[in-house]
Amino acid sequence: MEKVMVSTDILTDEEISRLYQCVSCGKCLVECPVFKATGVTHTLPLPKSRLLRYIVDKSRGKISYFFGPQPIESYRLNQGVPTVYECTLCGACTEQCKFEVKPHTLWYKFRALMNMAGYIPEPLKHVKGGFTETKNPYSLPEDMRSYWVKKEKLIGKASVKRNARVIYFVGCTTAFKRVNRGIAGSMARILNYVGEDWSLLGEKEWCCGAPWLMIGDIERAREHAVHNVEAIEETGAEEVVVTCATCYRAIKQEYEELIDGKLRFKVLHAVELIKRYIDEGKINLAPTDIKLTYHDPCELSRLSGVIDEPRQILRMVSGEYREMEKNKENGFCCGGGGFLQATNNDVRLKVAQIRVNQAVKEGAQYLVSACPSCKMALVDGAKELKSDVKVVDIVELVAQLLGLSSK
Amino acid sequence: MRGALLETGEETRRTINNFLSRLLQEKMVDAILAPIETSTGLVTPGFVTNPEKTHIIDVLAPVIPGVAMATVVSQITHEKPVEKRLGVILKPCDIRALVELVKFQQVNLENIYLIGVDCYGTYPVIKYKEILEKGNLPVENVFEALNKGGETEFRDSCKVCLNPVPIYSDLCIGYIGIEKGKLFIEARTEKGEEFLRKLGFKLLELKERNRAVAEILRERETKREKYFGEAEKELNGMEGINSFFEDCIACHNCMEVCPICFCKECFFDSDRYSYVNQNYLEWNPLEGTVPMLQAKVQFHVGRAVHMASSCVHCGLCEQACPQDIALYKLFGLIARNIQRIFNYTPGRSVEEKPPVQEFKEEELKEFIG
Repeated sequence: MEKVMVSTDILTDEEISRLYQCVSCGKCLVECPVFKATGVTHTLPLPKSRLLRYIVDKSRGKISYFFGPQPIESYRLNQGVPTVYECTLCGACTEQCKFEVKPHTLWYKFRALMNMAGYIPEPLKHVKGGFTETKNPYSLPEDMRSYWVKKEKLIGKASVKRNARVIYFVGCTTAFKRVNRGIAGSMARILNYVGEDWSLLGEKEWCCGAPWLMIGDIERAREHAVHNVEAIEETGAEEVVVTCATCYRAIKQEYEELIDGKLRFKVLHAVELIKRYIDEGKINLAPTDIKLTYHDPCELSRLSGVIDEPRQILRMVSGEYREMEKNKENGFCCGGGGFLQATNNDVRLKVAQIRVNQAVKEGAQYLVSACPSCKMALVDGAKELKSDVKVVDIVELVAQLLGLSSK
Repeated sequence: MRGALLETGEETRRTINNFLSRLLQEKMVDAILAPIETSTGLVTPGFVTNPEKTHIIDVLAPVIPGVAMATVVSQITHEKPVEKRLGVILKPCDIRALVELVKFQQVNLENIYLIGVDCYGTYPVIKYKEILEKGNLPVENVFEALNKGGETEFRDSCKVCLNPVPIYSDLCIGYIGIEKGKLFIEARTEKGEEFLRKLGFKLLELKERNRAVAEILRERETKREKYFGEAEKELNGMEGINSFFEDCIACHNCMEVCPICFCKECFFDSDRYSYVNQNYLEWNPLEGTVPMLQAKVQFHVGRAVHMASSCVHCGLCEQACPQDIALYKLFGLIARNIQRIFNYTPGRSVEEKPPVQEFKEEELKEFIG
């Protein structure tokens, strides 16, 4: 039987102790969106942690004590690839855990360990090549990063300046994906509308690095973090605004550890900035009667705690705001996280459909989100369901209500 | 059997840990596999090799933290026997599971010394955590319950457990039937006696302990009959079973934690088995004319049958159910009934062959004539 050595050096003692704190109570299994969508058990959180425990036991634990570090059967690792990667990293398991295991943080490290051993899904192997070269996970030429400026008819109105108070960090999924161009355009218009001193990073903007963490390459993620922090700090910006929940969490929670230093700027998600503009009276939103519901991006709500701001904005613009069955910290993933689109798009679409159906159940006309990945997944899910619910980003909605749309 | 009486006073845990330290100091074992305390106060199976570090061991913790010790021993030894000597602390049900796994060649006992511990009962993990959070020591609750007789907050399988004392081990750390402030370390094998003698203990016999155990068993027999009698009524017929599993989400966690369930690839996870109900319809020539099992029920009934003869009644399946289905009711019932038919007690001895490994001409007369 073929066996390979797998290093677990990447796991800290604290992480290992959390791994063994798990008591298999199974509460984490109940809310797993991938399980709800597929009913397949091998991608559940507990099979993940059992496989990880097995690997740790063999490399630096109970088994290696007797026999020295032991190689792992490669069939187990091959079976482990979907177990580890068919996951949206949404953190629903962490929300349910009563024993402080914080499972989803271990899944990131598990991916790093699998990536180092060379066990990652085929599609991600392809992604890695282009990603390394182009600095964006879509492998598109860097000069296309600002293509949306032209398409949104914002030439001269959304530019790269040497200095600015605010940097709009667009993020790859917003910049490169056609369906999300409107988010970037709307954000730019809002910033212009309130007369903000702002700038883009242009080609100096690299992917935030979060996708590298999802693939499991921490060193590459570090490269991106260092580059982006330098590029932002060169402009002397006080604040960085993002429209993407993934970029937000990466910059806010991962960057300081990755660059091993303090950030000299503040990170804001668009919803926080817009809420501030409203409070300062720079934006006035008139109420409408659109039936709205809000989809919490996992990385923004559950994993970063930005929960109230989008709701305050939405309640302001509509008296018909309704919560879905799963909301706030207990929100249901859109399916778009954790690189699931590349690993297994069928699963992603199934998860997305569950979420869209929850919105339909509330009779929503607009399903509002605050993340381009969520928007993409939910748009695809609605398409699969042939549902006429309109999926929009909160930034687009605000711009539309301010009469700022491009069309 | 003979053993040594230890004065503990209020320091039960420390006395046991000092004893374990001496096993390591005197090089009788190289490592001890025991429940060790985690940062949240719960326990997890772990190693101690340093005699000065035994304070993290919590032998009497009345909880099974999701993974049976037998499963851990199987993971370590199923490929090859260990060369260093390992002392393993096990609860009575853990030992029985271990013995069953030996029969199925999943555990190799070479160089392994079994140190059993009395277990009057364990709490569900969540309950255990609650007790800790209230600032109480769960084990003290157990001692109190033992004095009063009975504890309503134990797991169901513990309330009706007929093995509070290990039935197969080298040494046994006993507290049932021993006066307060003392512990009885019983030698069950020659190896065990040798250990105790080397440590300089005077060996004696304790008859009153056996009487106390018998008393508990009598009480539990009654409870057990009542428990399974009620279960039989509830689970009677397809309707009962279907409604029993109504909340099941088919996560298979009951299967994952079961110490007896050891297959490397589960039949229910194989391509051979798919959960689509339609498959049954397609396979069945009398399409739709017989009541169909729901797929998830099919899984449970299948698993119950696979486990029936070797089930050690640890009840981990029930504790692992995220939907709080009282699984032991079903699995325990089926196991008890099957084990009765074959007059088989899993974990009684390594030599006794499980019914699935042996055919006896005189068995199952009422079925095969």
